[in-house]
Amino acid sequence: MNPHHIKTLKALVLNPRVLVGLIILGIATFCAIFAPIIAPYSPEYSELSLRLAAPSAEHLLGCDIDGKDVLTSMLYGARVSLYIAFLTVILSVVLGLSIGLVSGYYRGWVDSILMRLVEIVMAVPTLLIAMVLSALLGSSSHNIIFAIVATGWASSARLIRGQVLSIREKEFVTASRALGARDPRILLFHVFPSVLTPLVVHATFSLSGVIIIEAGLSFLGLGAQDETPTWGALLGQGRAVLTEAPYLSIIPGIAIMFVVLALNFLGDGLRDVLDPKKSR
Amino acid sequence: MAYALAITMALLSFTANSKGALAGPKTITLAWETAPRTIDPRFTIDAKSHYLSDLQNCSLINFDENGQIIGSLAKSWAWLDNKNLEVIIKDNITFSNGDKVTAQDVKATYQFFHKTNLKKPSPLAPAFKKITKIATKANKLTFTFAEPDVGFLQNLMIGIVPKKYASQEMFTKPGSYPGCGPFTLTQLSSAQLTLEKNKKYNLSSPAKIDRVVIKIVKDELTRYAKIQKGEVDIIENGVNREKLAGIEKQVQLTVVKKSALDTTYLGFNMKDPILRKAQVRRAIAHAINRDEIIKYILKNTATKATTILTEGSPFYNKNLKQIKYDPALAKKLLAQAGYKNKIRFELNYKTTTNTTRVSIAKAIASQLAKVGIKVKVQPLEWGKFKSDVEKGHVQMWSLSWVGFKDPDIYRYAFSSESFPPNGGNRGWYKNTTLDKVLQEAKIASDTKKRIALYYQAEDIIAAELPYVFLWHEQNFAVIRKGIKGFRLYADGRLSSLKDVTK
Amino acid sequence: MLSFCIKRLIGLIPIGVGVVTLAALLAHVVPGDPADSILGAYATLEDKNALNKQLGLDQPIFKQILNYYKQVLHADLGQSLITQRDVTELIAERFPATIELAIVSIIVAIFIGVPLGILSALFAGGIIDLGAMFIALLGVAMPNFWLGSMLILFFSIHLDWLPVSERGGWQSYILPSLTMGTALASVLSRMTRNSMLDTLKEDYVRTARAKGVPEYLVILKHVLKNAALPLVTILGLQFSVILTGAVITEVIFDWPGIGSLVLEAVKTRDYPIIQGCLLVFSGIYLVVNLLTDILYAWIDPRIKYKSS
Repeated sequence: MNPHHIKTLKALVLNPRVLVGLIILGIATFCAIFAPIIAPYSPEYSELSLRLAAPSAEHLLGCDIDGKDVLTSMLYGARVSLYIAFLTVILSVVLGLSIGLVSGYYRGWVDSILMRLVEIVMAVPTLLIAMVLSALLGSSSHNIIFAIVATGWASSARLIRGQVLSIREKEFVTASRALGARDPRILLFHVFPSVLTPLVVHATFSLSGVIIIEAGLSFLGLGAQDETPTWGALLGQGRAVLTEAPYLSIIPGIAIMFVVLALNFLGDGLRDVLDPKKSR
Repeated sequence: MAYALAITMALLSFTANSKGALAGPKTITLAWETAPRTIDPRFTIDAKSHYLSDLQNCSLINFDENGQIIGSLAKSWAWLDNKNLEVIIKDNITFSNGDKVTAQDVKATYQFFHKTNLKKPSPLAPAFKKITKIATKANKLTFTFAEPDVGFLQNLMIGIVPKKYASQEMFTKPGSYPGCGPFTLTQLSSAQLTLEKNKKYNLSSPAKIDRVVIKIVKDELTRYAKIQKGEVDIIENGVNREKLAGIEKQVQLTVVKKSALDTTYLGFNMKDPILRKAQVRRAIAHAINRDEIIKYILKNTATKATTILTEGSPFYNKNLKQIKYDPALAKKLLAQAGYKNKIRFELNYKTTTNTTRVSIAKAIASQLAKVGIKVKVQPLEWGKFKSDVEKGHVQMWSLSWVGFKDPDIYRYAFSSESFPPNGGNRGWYKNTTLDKVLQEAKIASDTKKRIALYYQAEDIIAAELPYVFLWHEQNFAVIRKGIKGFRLYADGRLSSLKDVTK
Repeated sequence: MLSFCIKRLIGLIPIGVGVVTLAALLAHVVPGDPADSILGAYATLEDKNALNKQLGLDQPIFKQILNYYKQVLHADLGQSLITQRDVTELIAERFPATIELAIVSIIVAIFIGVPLGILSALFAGGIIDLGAMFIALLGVAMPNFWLGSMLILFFSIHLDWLPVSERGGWQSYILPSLTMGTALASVLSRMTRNSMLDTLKEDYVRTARAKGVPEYLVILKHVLKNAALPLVTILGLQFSVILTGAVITEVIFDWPGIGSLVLEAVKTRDYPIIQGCLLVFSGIYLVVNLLTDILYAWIDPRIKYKSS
């Protein structure tokens, strides 16, 4: 690692926003990974007589509509939500990156067609397509991922393409070309590292967006139907029993808000450090 | 042109922004959780369409508050022999346009089901194809059936459409034809239905109110808020049971309950190698704690069931005993059936997406888990659920029989002649002894003999348990103080609306 | 100006074509027989044949696309698979509710976001600034389905000040528009703040001040006018986000708009309605984009000449 990298890392860690964001995310991830150990009850446990029971000493966050402990569901639900969110963003970014790189570097008719495609995809609201696809495909985690990636790649692609276009003419690229380096090599070793920074920032913000979309899908009843309800699903239950069990509508929402806040902080902080010109 | 129409409609909708009908003193407002699927009496299958049809139309026979058959348009009827039914209709009953309701109109309505080349055929057609001939003479109709069917009378509740309109394609707009019921549908949108008093109604006393507004309010909390604020007068079954206890304490609202013709059951697919074993089914029956579910999920608005028919029916076998909650016995039976592992086997349990049904399914699943049966609950939206059940792509599912009046429902549900699409034997249950008993009962004309035969059938079914009969759910309604005359019907119909005053 | 508008309009055509094609082929996106995914697997052959006939799904793909175009150009979006009602009629019936709500939400967002941004910029660095910006951050992070329920819980149920839901008198617009507009208000406030901070530093502001023009006039005339440009851009971009938010907001508040229409259609697999709503949502997005571009060019004439 060269000194430039070390300096960046230091700046990252010292930035308060990055720090706060990482801490909160860290807690969420920790909870998700170690759910089986931390959770007070097993995910199969449910006690009918405690249906919609308010928070108490035995059930710190109360029980849901099936008599399941909410704290346990939140911990296990974090797994599903975070798994879907991470995988979705990784796939979207990889797909968007590839398309953006090709589009921006080769330009010409390839670029025109790909960018038209991007515009078409962006004209259609992501949530809508995700709703339709998850209803047609069925509600497993992987189908949700596919549904969101199907339109999610477009914003990354557009971003990358823009970056590539500006980098393309930079000296080190033209120099490389003059030296006879072949295209893929140029793409990989010169163009790609330069787009990495805005991509990371974009990916962070995407992550928060995907978490909200996934929670929204669960809220609408179209999300992943697993053993334990996800945070969005709990909120969906909560809406149906708003007067009978208000806490079901309060608690999962706060959790989602914290994670999204954390990601936004993280994104802002990353942008401050990695891309100071853009920071606003 | 069509775009212009669409834009005009949109603009009109902007300006109209209807808050509902002009709420004068003679309007009763109801809230329904879904819209009726059709307004055409020849196509009604779902509950709301039935209730609407009941308000707009008159039919040969109808059912009273307790589900007993009464003559409506039909003055009297008699079986000439076991394949010919003679019905005499009342004289001088009119449609809303003043035309008399004649035997020709009745004939034309029922002949619609034999019509071919329809763009959209009626789903009721298969049932009515059993009528081979309808002869009319003045006020008399003679229905001839392909085979003896004493219970067919109860099917003659289709709203009568004037002959002039009776062979048209499915009606989708209000005012498509004049009806002979106490109300006429004058407005239909996805948010609201409006019915006006039919001044020409003379089958019985005319309506005491001028207008019925039915608001389609999908959200339960909204429905509840509306009745609290007085924007809605009556809600039938459309409020979370958890709220009922609180409502009973409120001054301006009352709750009324009535036992209904409803039997919720857990169905088994006999084609499945595990579920075809009677011991397994009996074990499952003993493993379900119905009291708990009735208490905590249904909030005591249901009573345990032993069979399809309810205690009020003369054909109900009084000797049937409730199945006891006995997990230990369940485990023993399962072991006897050859399933001795800790997790004996897995089952898939399909249900609709209705919150209460899913809760019940999950509760049953966790109860079955305690005896070693792992159950995966799969909520499906109605169309897919219905399709999966009818095609036999299920292991376990839950549904209810609603509004059954004649004991012939047993044949419809459990006879091997009734495999879908010919009937409702969705579990593919076959028992030749039972088949024989039910067939005899269908054609038996002596009531005492029929009762004995159905007692026998019920005994066989209780022993074999092709389904687990869970409970009979009650109908309940939340009504604002000041509304008088509303009576709950066992099948949920709103026939008492014409006698309601505010 | 006119040629600019026309150019932009023409530029929309390929996208519009693409969207209509996408809508036409929606059922084919899913692997397997489209009739299966609409009817649910295990539909009878009869059911499938009937559906194929009604929707033309068994015809060659090219023909399907063409047929759909023909239909769309005649404003015929098909019939609901369940109620047989015209999709165009259904959408026309529910469209105003959504647009009304969207517009009210934007107005609410502007009236909350812009003043907040101005305040922050004026007292930059102070408590008010920090507080306002934190609230803005919360506004973006809060899922709107949570906010909606919370607002109902507090204002409708606890305080009984406002109706629970459903489109009715003017009071019924308050909570849903707050729900839909909060995220936008947050974005606007940040934007306004930054834009103002930038502009406050500009020369002509200092000149106006030096000339002795009163402070508030300085702010109003010069600063706001120049901050308007990025504001317009944001509004244009965010309109489609707002519309998407409509789906969830309409469910929470039982609002009879196209958001709740499309959700029902998705749940019941009422394919023609889904297609129709897709077109409407995308259409609105494209129209709004176009209007934003035009407005932008009108405000800043330089753009017209730069664009190519």
